Amino acid sequence: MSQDKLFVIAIGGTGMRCLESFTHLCAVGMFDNQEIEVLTLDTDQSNGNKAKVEQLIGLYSRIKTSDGKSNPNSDTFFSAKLNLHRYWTNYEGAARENYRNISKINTGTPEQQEENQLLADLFLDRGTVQEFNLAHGYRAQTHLGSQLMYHGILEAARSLASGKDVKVEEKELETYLTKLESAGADARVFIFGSVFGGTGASSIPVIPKALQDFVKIRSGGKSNIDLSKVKFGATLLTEYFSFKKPDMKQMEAKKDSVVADSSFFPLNSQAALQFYQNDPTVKKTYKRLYHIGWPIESKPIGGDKKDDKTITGGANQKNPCHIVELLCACAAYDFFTREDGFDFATAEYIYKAVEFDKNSFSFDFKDFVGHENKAGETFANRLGAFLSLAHISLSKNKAALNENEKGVKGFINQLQIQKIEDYIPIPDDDTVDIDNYLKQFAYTFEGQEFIPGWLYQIRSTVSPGKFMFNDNAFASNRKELERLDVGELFLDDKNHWDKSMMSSRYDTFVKKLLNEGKPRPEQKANTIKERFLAHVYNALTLSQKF
Amino acid sequence: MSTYILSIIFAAAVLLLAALISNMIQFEGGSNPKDPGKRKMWFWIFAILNPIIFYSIAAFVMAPSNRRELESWNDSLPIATIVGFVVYIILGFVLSKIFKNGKIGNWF
Repeated sequence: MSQDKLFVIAIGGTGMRCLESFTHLCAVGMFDNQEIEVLTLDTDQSNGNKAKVEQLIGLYSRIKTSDGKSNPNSDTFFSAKLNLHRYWTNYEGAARENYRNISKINTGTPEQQEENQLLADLFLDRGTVQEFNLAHGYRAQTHLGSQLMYHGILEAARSLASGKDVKVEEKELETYLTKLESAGADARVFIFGSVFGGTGASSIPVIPKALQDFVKIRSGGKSNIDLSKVKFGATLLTEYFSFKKPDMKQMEAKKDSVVADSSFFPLNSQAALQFYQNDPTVKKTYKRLYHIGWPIESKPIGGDKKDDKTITGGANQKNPCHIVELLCACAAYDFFTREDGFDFATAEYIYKAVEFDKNSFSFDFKDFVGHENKAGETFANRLGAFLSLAHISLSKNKAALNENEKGVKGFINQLQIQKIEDYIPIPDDDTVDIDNYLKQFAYTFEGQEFIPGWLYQIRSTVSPGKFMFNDNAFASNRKELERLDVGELFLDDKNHWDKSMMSSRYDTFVKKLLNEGKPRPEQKANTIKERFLAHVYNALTLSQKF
Repeated sequence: MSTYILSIIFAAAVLLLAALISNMIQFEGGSNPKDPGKRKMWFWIFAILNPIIFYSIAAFVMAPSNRRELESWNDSLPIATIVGFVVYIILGFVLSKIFKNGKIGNWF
């Protein structure tokens, strides 16, 4: 793993969902010994995807923290420490709700107003692009979005420099950038966002320059970020989902006069890629650009709700997860773990392909993280172990099946019964946090209804293609889950837990948990909770025989 | 062979059987697994069966035919049975503490 300081920026709804996948990779334990600074950047503070990932990182951080302390660990679950910073451009209130108002076209002398209007009309459609409500993002209007995102970040810098009316989100942006500035040439910044939508597509080209100018303005010209030295990487994520076409009735209102239309996403993607291929600033500032896409037809989001309006943003925008978001998170893994590949004068474009047969993709562990330094095996072991932990907590210990059951607490009880009493001090609230995280990772039930979590949602985008584990690893029926043999999730028999005439697979796992799984010093598990997680991780790893 | 030695050997054999059955009882999931209770139950079932079976076998199957030897056998049998019971409990306790993290750790 790199010695550089790691930074992540998630932009827009798609960026947030990529960040969700990235957070789960951290939970699985793919970023050993790292403290990662995360910035969520959006125009839409109420966005459902944003709220979801921020809550997830909050939950992750609570699991990671004991007695107010939180440290990176190695070779265990939740090994990376995540520090969340949030910034959003403020488009609340009449003076800031649309482009016309925010750019103050109607101020100044009549002559100035006329010139303002003519200038704005040159680039932006009057009556639509100039007047739609910005609170739900840039609605695929990237020419407007790039200008406004850049403006928003510089506005925050000016506000901080003046010290007047400094908002909490501006302070958080400053904290993030102070860390980036002090990391200097040792910083690696990875940006999640799409190139086909609104906010992400608008921001990716301008973010490095905007951050550089922010530092200059806030410091009064005394500080700078050297863009030639800081290693920037990003996803060039092309269209992979569609949604209901907006109807004329919805677009009658001025504030909704522009609604993103997913039928244009392929065109947007094509135009964006041409831009990224040719733009000298992008090519100079980014070291590596990961081209990720979905070359087959995608299932529409909310396809069953025929009467609903197209969701433009806000709390209702909570799209299900897709495998390309996991691939984006794996691109960040590649960017953060590679030792070389940053010496090129211009951006390097990276892509790869996976097996496609009988109209479906088949994914193996190596397709996600490669096979250098046994990365594929490490990923298989850690993801498999975390999925096993989820099944044990949620189904075997019934945390998802019965609201009165506590899954991870069951482990601690079991260890206590077997006279391993080291973990009794872990508060019940902390074990409930781990259960809740596992529910978001895998699944839960609301009453009798099965609610798929992140990994199940991702797998459903590949189904019926192969997706790393056995089909029964993704059981979704109560009875199937109750009967599930947690020890045979892998496709390869050699990774199944041992069993014998006397012992089931689960039985041999518990024996390993009791006798062989004690945390090792190199795992740097210091607090009781860290030691517990490392202990379970070790027993699962031993059982899987990686 | 004296009844005392026979009783101790029999207790050890029953204890081995109790350990075997305890190990065959699988670890369960859930907040309140029932498997530790089952192992404890089997330990105490064998603790009760041990003296009953030993006494029955010793009195009715292994009893010597010679009257003098039979008197001596019968005199020592109750105490040997108690010794066997005590040895079973003490050995069970010691093993349970030695393998406290294992399945037979559930006995005590």
